[in-house]
Amino acid sequence: MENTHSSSGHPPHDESGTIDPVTGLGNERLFLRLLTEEFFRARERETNGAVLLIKIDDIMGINARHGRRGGDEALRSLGNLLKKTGAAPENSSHLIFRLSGPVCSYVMPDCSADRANSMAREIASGTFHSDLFIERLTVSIGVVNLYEFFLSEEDETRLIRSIEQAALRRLETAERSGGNTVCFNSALTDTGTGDAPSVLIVDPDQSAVEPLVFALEAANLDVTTCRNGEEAYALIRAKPPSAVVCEAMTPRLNGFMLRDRLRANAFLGTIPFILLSHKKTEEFIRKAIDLDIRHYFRKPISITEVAGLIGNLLRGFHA
Amino acid sequence: MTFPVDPAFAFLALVGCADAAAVAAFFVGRARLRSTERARLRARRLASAILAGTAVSSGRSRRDEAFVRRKKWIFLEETANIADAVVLSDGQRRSLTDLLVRCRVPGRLVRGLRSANRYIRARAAAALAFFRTRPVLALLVKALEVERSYPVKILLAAALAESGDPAVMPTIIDTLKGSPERYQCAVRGIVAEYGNGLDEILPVLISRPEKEIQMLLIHQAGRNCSPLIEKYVERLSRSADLDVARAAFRVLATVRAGALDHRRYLSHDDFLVRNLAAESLGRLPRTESLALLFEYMDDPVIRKSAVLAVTALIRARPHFLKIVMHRCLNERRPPARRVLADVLANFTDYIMGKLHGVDEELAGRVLHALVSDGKTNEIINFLNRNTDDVIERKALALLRAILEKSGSLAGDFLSYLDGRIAGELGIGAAPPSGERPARRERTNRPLLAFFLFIGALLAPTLCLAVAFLDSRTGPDGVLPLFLRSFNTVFAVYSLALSALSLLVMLFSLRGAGRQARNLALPRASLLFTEGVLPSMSIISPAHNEEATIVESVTALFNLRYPDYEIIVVNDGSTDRTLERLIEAFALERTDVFIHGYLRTAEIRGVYAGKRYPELLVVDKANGGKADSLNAGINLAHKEYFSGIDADSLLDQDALINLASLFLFSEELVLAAGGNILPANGCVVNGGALESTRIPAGHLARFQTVEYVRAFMAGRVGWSELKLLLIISGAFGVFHCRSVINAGGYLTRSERYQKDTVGEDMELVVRLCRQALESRTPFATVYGRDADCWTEIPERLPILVNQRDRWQRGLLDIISFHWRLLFNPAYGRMGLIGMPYFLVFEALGPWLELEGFLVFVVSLAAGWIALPLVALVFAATVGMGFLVSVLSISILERGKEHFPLRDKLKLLLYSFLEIFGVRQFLNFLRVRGFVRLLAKAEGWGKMERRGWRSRENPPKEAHS
Repeated sequence: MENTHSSSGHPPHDESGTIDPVTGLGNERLFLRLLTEEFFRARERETNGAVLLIKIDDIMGINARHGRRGGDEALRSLGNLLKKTGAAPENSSHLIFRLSGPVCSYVMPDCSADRANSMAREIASGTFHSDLFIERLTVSIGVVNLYEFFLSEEDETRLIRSIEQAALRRLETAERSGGNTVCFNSALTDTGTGDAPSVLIVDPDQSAVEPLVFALEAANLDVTTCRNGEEAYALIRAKPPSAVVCEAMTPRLNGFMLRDRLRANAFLGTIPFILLSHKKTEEFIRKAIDLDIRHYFRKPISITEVAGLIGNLLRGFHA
Repeated sequence: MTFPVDPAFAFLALVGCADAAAVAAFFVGRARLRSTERARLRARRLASAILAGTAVSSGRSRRDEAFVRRKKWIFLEETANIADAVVLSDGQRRSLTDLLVRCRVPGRLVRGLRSANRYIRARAAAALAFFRTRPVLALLVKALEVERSYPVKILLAAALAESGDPAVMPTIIDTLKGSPERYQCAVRGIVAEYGNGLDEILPVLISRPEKEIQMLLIHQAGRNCSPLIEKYVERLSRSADLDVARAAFRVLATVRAGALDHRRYLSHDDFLVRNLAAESLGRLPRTESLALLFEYMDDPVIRKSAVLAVTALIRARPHFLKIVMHRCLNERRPPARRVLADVLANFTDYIMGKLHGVDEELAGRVLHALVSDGKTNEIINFLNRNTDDVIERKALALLRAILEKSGSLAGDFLSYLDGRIAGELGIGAAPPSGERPARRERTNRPLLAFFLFIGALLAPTLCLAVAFLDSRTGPDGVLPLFLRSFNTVFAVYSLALSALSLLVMLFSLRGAGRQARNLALPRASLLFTEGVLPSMSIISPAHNEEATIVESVTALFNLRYPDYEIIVVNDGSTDRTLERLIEAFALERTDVFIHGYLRTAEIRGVYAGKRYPELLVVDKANGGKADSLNAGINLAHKEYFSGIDADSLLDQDALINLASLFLFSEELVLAAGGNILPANGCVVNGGALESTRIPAGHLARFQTVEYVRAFMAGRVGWSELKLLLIISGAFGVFHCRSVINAGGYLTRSERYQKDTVGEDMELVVRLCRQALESRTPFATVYGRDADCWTEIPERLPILVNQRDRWQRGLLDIISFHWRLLFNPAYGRMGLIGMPYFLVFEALGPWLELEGFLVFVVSLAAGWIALPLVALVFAATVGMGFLVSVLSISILERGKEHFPLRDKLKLLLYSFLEIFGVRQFLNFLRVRGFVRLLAKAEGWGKMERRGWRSRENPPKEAHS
């Protein structure tokens, strides 16, 4: 395709050892060079940019099962998948490289942090659902936003190195939390708002809400309630709670769609999300898992169980 | 005259008083709604406080007891709701029970169990579920043993099963014998949900020969399989009864797939078992499974299952793909080769990617085989999305070589391949799509002409004849005599029409109350128990709806219903409807098996996406709404389907409220419909209603009054009389199997080879007719609490067109089903239902319009007696307004649809409507009649503005 060159990030005539032979993408040298340019341009214009490091989970296993060529092929397919993502018109400025080992990098100049996060999730789920690979693949992704380094006073080479290091550290964190994960910030637990722990309950059915409110307030939690997903989203954006308890079938914006929207935001996506519903079909469970919802209770719920879980999730939360 | 006043004036005064009383009742009803809300809130607070163990002072507790005694049903309902949302501890249950016993509630409930009234028994059963004490359970068991009504039985069974006491199970299971399928389905779900006590009586149950019990145990085995029950199911899989054998094998294939002797089932006599066996192999990712499938693949009956199975195997073990690729190239049996090609088509992306990988040569040969087998869809799809120029180059080179050999394939590529790529391939641009075939609305013209004579000419002719005869004997001229007799006819007709509306209205009042009470009975956990409510396919036909389609579908995702799928049928749209859907829901073209139950226009493709597994989009050539619904039915998998216009918005609870009424029907529900309300004034955001208001324009407000009256005063009552024959196309639910047996919606491609504009009503009439002919008991249901909001015409020309279409539809149906008219063989439908439509809907408008003109002329000329004027006023204005006011009160009973201001406006408009608007609408009906006879056809097109959203919609909402 005509835009392959621009999206894979190397000028057509530059053949002086900056191309990776397996994937046909630019290599680490080219990556560092372009990252330097990109960083200083971003700092000058005060716009953000983001670097995504994408690593294939369990590449050793793939090599073991399909031979080294299998591993190479997986890497090449990942390259193709990224190229396909980068070929979309709105992503035309994005650059793709292959670094050492099973790691690719995806550079997004001039984009917001939220956009970078949603892109990372898109790539992760795109890989998981893709039919391009020799087997069901997952990737871990570390995300670094360039603005995080705008105030750094290190010299050029060290600065770029430390950006790369930060990205690699987050990639490692993502990998260690089990693969198929995206890591946005170094401290995963860095989610406190400084206020008393608070819980938002989203459920139009007052008979379920009232006993829960009683129990949570008894546990010294600050409880807010609302009846529909749209209102819940506005409340969460205005003042993020420490945990969300949500009915799956809420009016206006259902529980799944609310969770989906929250996940588009790096910080809001990390708020523990507990789903409740009378309906717990295979299909709903699958959707919940797909959205990384870890707690899904079928009504009638045991108040002791749900309140206890919330207590456990918020333990160590300093009032 | 012996009366001091003429009786006509007295009647007018009486009707006036009734109007005033109705308006007063309207406000009282509002106040009652408020006070019920307050009582509900208090009941909930009280129950929560007792549950939380908050100590209450004795003074308060006396007041609380008085409250519970006064509002015991509300209190019971609220406690049951809480117990339904939250697990109560024994202590909590006891303290609530204590309070209820102090208020002497249980005694009353127990007496209720023995009531002769079905509803009172059901209410008692639902409420007693809360107590769970031994004596109560014993009473419930006794009640279930003697109960005859299935709706009550379900509530009793649920109440018993919920207690978790194994001793109640035998009674529940015994009710299955000889029960209808729907009831069995519900009980199977209830037993599976709560029936952990089944194990103890299992040894007894497995020796029972009844089919119903066998099916129950098979269902149970699917949930929880012990060795004993497994052996039992295996025995049943050899049963002579095909239903049992199939169900048993289905369960067996899931619970012990690994240990199954597949060879035996792959050569089973029953084709369904063979299919199931093939499918079950797909869940066993082993080389042996693949080998077995290869062996039996040439059985044409299992083709689709084999494709699914092999695909599933490859998804589980990707290295199988290479084996299948080699096998495909070497396969000699044509049916097996087709299966393999189908499978490989599912992996087009991977194979195309291989074109510059390690297995380039193999991939090339497989692609060659695929294209030669006609598997072009996936390749086209891939090429349109592909961004890799190396792959494109290689693929095009391959395709060019193939196309040179067989030119016939070029057509496929031509119509669907991206223009640029098609150009590179050396084939021209796509030709314009074909013209839509002409509609075929064969009308029975002699019959219609006869109707015209009766409707338009009979009354005037008779009146004229009478006037002529009288004028020869009396002093008056022909004209005044004619006017007098015609005015009398008009007054009598108006009186009859209004009296009939009022009569139906009375039934509506009764029906509305009954529905509201029934809806409050089953708890959410019962409704969401598998099998209690029927599964539902929502079919939404869309033709050029790009403005609203994504919002409508999003709204459908938000429905509160236990088990449903959504099928959107794109009926040859010429705008971007399909593209909008594909973008919004990340859909991809898929190959699915389409049942050939009903013949429809050509299907171009089916789309599904991984993120929204419940959504299926069908793209088909234009064939009209009825044809699209038929196409949707072919793809529907569920027990019922629901036709919903793409421009309509369902209330979140509409479907569950409607289907809950099925629980209370003793007969099989063939068709059901809900309220249609105008959405023009509502604010819609993200596919959900934000606020509901009446529309702004005068025309739309008059229609709102008309809709409310037609639905609340009309259909609720007709359904109470078991005579509901119209179900609006905007929102209707139908029993899938019955519709398929009846031949689906009326289209030119289906068996009656006829199109109609009134397909919704026609289908109901045909379903009822066939059920009556085959003597199967059936029911049609109208749900007062199932709200569907739809856009209504705001501009006059569109309204004129719409009414024209409605009238033509009505006449078409009456003339198509004329045999039903006055035919006692069709019971009340033949004697009352259809004749009502003929007399008051089809022919009445003529008389009404003529009568109105004559009335106005004689009033102006002063040739009419005052009592007659009073009578006409009493009938049209007084009684007409009465019906309108009562229908608005029925609408607002239990739930507020519109704010007070709007309701007052509606009252005003319903009064104004009587002067002019009603006559105008009658004129439109008459016009439709004339135009149908004159064969002036044309499709009224509804113009869409798109939903009105909030002034500043949040931009990030759809990121």
